[in-house]
Amino acid sequence: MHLLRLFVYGFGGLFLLYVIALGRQIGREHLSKQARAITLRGSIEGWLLFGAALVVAVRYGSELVDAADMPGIDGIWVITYSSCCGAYLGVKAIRMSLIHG
Amino acid sequence: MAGFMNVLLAVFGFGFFGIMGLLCTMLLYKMWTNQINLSTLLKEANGDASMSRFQLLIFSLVVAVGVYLYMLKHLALPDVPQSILTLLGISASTYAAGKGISFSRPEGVIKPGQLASSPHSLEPNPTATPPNP
Repeated sequence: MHLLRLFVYGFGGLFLLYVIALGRQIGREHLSKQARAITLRGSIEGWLLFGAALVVAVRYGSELVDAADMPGIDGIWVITYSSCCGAYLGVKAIRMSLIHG
Repeated sequence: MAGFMNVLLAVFGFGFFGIMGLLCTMLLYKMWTNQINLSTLLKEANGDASMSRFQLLIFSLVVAVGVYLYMLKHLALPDVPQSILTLLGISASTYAAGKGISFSRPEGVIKPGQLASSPHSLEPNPTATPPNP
């Protein structure tokens, strides 16, 4: 049991370092002044999906913090999120077909 | 016999822990020194930022943290709730569908600078060499 705990702590630490390393690389690519300027002019459907993903992730993350068991998420959140995904994909498909036309 | 099995289990456990730890540390070192470059993880093929990739990354990380916290408390693998599996499915499907839409047209794949010189472009390319008669 001690070995398992050691394993969990060790790989938890490595997981954290991976996330930091990934964050450094992605941050260098997307948070430069030029990249920020391009991203801020992003599409409306992209911003909608960005907001929906952050809201659902924060909502679920807040449930995770003080849960004894692994919590689920209410059906209404799943439905809302899937609607946002559908809207994103629909508008993206229309936009792509219009560019081509 | 039970004592021998416990020793064997501990030896295999430490061996597995050591090998996996070494592999993970090597991978981390290569990421930290940019020998493995994942900076384009959130980019579309044409260089734009990709929200479908971003949301999949966010949900994967959040669910991974949830599984890890459960393992930390109970030292066992959790039963992942149905609603979370559904959410991950929606997220992964959105990524796959978004990628499909992007790759359905040349404009979604080719970077804007390359578009003028691509064979799919409708505009004539002034720098292109004329074909031999």
